[in-house]
Amino acid sequence: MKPYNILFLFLIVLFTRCGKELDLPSRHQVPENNMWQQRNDARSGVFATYGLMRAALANENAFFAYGELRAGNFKASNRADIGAVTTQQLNANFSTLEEWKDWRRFYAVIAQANLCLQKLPQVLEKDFRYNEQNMKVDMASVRFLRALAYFYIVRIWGDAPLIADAVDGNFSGRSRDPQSKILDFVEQELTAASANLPWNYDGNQPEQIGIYYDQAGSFWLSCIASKAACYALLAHVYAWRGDYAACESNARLVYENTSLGKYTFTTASTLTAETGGVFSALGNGVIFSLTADSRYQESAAKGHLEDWTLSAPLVDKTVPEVYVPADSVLKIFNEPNDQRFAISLAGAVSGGYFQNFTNPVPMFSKIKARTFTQQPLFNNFQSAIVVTRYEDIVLLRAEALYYLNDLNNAMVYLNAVRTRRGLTEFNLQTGGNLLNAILKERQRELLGEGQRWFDLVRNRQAHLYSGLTTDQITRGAALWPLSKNTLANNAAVQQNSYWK
Amino acid sequence: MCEKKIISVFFIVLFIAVTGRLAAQDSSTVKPQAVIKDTAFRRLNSPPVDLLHYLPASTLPALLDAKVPGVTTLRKSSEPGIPAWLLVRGLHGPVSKQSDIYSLTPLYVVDGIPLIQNHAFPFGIKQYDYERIGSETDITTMLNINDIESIEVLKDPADIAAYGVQGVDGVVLIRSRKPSPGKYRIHVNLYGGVLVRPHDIKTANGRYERDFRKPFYDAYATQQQLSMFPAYLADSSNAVYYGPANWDELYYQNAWQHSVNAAISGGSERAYFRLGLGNVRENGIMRNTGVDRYNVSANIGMVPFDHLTITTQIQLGLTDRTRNTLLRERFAEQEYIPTLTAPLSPNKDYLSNYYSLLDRWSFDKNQDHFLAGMIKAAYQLKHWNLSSSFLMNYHDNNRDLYFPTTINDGNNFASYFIGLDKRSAWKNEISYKPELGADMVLQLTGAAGAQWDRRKYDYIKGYRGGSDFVKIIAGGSTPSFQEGTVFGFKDYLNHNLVSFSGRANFMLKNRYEFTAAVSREGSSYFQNGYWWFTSPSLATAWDLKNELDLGSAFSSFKIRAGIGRTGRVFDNDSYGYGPVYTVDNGYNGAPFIPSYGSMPTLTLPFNRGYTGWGIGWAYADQATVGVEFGLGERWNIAAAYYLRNDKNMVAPVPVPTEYGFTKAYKNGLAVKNTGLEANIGTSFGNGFKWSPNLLLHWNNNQITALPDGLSSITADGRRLQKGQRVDAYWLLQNDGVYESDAAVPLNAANGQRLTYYGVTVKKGDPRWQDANGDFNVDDNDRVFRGNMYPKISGAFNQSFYYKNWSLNLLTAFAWGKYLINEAVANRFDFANREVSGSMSGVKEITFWTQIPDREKYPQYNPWSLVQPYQRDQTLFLEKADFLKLKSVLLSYDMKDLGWVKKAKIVSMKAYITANNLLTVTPYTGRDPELSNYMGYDDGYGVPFARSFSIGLQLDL
Repeated sequence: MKPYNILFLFLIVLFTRCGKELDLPSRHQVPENNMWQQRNDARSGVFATYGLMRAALANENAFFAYGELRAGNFKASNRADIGAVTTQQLNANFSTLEEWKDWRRFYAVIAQANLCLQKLPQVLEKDFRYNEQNMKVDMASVRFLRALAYFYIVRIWGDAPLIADAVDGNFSGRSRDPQSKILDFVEQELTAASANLPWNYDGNQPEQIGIYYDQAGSFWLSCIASKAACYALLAHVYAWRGDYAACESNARLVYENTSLGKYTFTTASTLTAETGGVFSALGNGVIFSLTADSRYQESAAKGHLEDWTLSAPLVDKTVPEVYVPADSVLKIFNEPNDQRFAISLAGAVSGGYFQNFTNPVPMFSKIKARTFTQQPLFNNFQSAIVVTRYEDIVLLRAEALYYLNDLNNAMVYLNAVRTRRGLTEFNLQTGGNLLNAILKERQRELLGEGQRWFDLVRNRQAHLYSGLTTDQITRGAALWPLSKNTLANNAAVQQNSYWK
Repeated sequence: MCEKKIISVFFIVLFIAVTGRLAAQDSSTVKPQAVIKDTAFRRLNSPPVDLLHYLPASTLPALLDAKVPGVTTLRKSSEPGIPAWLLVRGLHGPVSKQSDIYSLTPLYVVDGIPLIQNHAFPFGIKQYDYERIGSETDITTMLNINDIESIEVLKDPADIAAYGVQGVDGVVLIRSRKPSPGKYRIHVNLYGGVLVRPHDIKTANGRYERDFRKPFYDAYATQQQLSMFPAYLADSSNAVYYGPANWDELYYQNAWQHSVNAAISGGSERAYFRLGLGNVRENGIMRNTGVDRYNVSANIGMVPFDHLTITTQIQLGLTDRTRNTLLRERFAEQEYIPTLTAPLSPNKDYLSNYYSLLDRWSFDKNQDHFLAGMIKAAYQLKHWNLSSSFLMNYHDNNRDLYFPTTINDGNNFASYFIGLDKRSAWKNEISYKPELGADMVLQLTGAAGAQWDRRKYDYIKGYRGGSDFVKIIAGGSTPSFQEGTVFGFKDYLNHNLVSFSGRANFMLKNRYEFTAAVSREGSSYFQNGYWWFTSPSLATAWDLKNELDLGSAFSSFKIRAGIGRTGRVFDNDSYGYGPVYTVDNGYNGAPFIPSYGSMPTLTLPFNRGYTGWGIGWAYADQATVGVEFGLGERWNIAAAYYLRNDKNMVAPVPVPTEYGFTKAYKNGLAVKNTGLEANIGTSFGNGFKWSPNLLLHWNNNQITALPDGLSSITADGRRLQKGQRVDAYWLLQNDGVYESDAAVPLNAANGQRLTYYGVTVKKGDPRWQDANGDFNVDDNDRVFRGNMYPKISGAFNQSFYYKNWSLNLLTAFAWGKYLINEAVANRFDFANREVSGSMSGVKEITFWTQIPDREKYPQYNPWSLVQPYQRDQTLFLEKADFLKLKSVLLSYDMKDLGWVKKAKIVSMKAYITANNLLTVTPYTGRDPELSNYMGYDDGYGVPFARSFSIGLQLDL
């Protein structure tokens, strides 16, 4: 072969090859063109919305910062950023505070939900395996999550931009819409979602016939949206707006369908159990929670309350970051035989809520879903963030009935919880104010679950526990300030007036 | 692509025409002619490679440090083998995290092989930005300096053009020693030496730390804060912390190093070869650190037919790095932070327990394997030159490690990383050099090439293995690591690059020289419609000595100028595909959760940032003018002024948080670098000769545009502002301390005291300047101060020659450079760090050192909510100018010795070197050269150690 023939061959080889070279698909991520093609894309998009909701609430234990830290129950032992929240100094300059002040993660849930709502019909067209029922349940799920995100936003920051259209790359700054408009939207969305969601996923519900994404009904218990989740959330929304009649009717729907919804009262021992309890497993009276199961590698060292509240011997730490001081504990659990926590006249401590009670810094051990319970200790937790559970709704119904002036029935629901925790029945003559008793029961039962602050604000009692004055609260101190990023990146949004 | 087809048809037709003509030519006497390319500034671009052969260092950036004007070395530590980065003509873009530097550094080209660099994409699976996952070994360890004939750093667009868009940040062109036919020649270079551990470490023990903190407690602590006084400092009878502080004796070591290199070359006219072997062991002064490197290089030339030369070259490298055992790097790797309440003991008796547990049970293997090979066939005729080459470049980096239960709160950890980078490429070139008479030389070159890069990594990590005897992660029915604690990661990144280029070199009357080049390149990182970019360039030179007949006053006199544009490819495929979906629903502390309730997830990249459609190429426009002249016999001066505009770069733009994204990526960032490079050399004397040589680089940079016409972007605690430097720090200005609450300024308008981001300032808080006078200290009161990249850098080197002796003094200096002394800031910020269970609470053994200039820092209330000892304030900004005596090199040429002559030794030199002898700097930290790539000195850099070596170079 002549040498130049070899060269000739080289050239031929090169030039016939480079045709398609530049059209190289990414193996790194999924481009827009390849997404929303099949059933699995729909599933990934929908469950990502759940994942983002979990991230929004778990990030730096945000659900706890919003729902508990300002309410007076918990104190910080040594972390100045947490201490700043417990003392209502939300302007302090800590990176974690910036995270809590930022509503971006909730809006990520909303953006993902908006996107799913726009794109899921496209999947229906393209993939025969994705059917209409499947799509309706998926769309109702993301509408539920979007409503939940907006409900958090309104409760934490007040007015906010209401965005319900999918992202298109145009990021113009939107101004804030009044909370009433957002809450109207939330109500409407939850009502719509409740119509298409099943009570459960056993495959025999009219909304979901056959199994959902190849998993049996028990698999989905309490970790994804359902009718009960919508009604429970609606009850909270109406209570927040002071519409206790609507609150009561939604709470009643939850209350009357326990067998359909597959939830019921839990025992105090299940509530504080380390494994198979309210915070570690599915069901157990939980209506909706965001789970982080270690079997699926969703557990983590951070983003779980255990990271802050546990200490030796449960984790390798002498002092927990947050705790309920002993005198507060005694004030909160001031009735004998409380199965959650009680101290006898002889000083013996019982109940699973607290350990190390005699230490200067007791351990709040109600929530303790450690991934590994055996030695050696390992910081990895899988507690679910419980958004709402049966006792929450039962007590909320009691609260609604109180406001509706049906005191006897209010007492029935209050006592339904009290007696299950070893307490005596509440007596109107000796028990004092019924509302206070209901709120106290909520405080005890839901301690650490991110409800207390919203209970106080809803019932206009925040000034009694938070160190804020009524004047400060009227000036808007109950809301959180907006983050630096939010203010810097959108000129149409102003800082909440109290925090200016 | 129709465009490509047209070009290919054109080439094929051209080729047929050429081969037809070739056959007709009488080509028996043709010798290949060198390409004219005298438009480059050689004196400004080339380091003295012959001296580099003597210097003990295992990476090219370390060797090239302060050897070429305009080329700066960026290092975070002197740990052997750790990556260091070259920056050519300044910092071309912002660096806000470590991986950013990967896309701002030059391309290494070894004999035409563009080396595949480590890639930044595995950074994405680690939470902490301290180290790169994997072996983290510098890519240039694959090169043996002894196999290198010359190095040239190409900076101008016309010079870069031959290497395409990959060379946009400069090209380090490495030419290896070529085989030559004839008698076998043997080349040997050996040295051995020792690094001396530092003896000037001012260690501290618990007493020092307690005494340091006590005034703060006395002045400011509340009862609760007092009760939280750390237990390890509370008991002064505890010998673990209050014993003698002599940890440095264990932690630092005297270390030896050696280098053994041999090469043989020879062969016949038809087939010749060069084979080189090398081994370098470079140990560090930090315990157990070092790098062991083996290199093989083979070059084979064959002339099977007249005019056809086939050259093959292969470079092989194996690197074994033993790396530091810093706590921070361990925790970052395992992403699990054990209890931090009991730091390491400053006393070696106790510390040795820890080290023996660590050494006995753990392992940490870091290996890299390199292969670069090319086969090139060149057909040379009188006017025509044809060549075709195929190259392959392979690199894997592996880290295999195990940390035992004994040092990790009872939880062991194992991980294995393997990263593979493969590159294969074709390049065909045709050049034509017609005869145009005596006055004119013209060469036209056309080239076409394609390159395929394939990268992937596999990473698996597991916690809580069954016992410390089973150190591998094994699956199966009885897995060695507990279920739910084993995590696997895998990713791929592919890139194709297609290029067509043309070049013309023209010289007229030995006076005027021109090089014009244009290349059109397509990258698969862009979406269809944005694939192609055209980079044109032009360079000229004018020989004034010939033109003006300057005679003997000037030995040479040339003026040069160049201008051109070079495209820039993204560093990965995240930007060019429009909106993308990815797994991004993690949160702080758990960023990689893949699923919800076991269901896989795909979201828009809310945390990483949005990318829209239509992101296009960034590019660099450059212009250079310069002069090179020789004054008489003795002076040689070269200087060049450059203007470099990096334009249309992609930058993260903040978007309203109401869209859920942290940011959106957009084109439009522009950075301007201007500067002057100079090399001034002279020599005096005859018998005894003194040759001083000054290398100088003056540089300034500025952000000239931001995406969307924004005037500033704030991210990661830094602000990019139009008109400001790209590496400027953005700081609060300190002005003392508030002695009392009453001293805090009162806003008469509303009766409120000065606030800091809304928090009322109190006694013991820093007096930060409220620059805008709104009685609130916040981002608007921050100012741009200082910069990481020096304004002036260079070296003043001197050589002395006497008979067969020569002595070289190599220095380096920088002026107008600043660092933030974060290490000191962290020490003062103990109130926050002591209680933090996160990375900021980690106390390294180097924590037990005294704080330099402790008195100069005001005593703030460390518990204050204003975070008085945050790092981004002028308090911690320090000048980091320096002058260093880097190396002293004494060599003796033994050519005149009788036995050397008798033994027919071609050349024989003995040499000794002494390195890092002297540093003059106002900087109070460890070393003004060591910091992370953002300019923060966190104290983790291992300082440069004094070292001494003795060596022998021999040619037979």
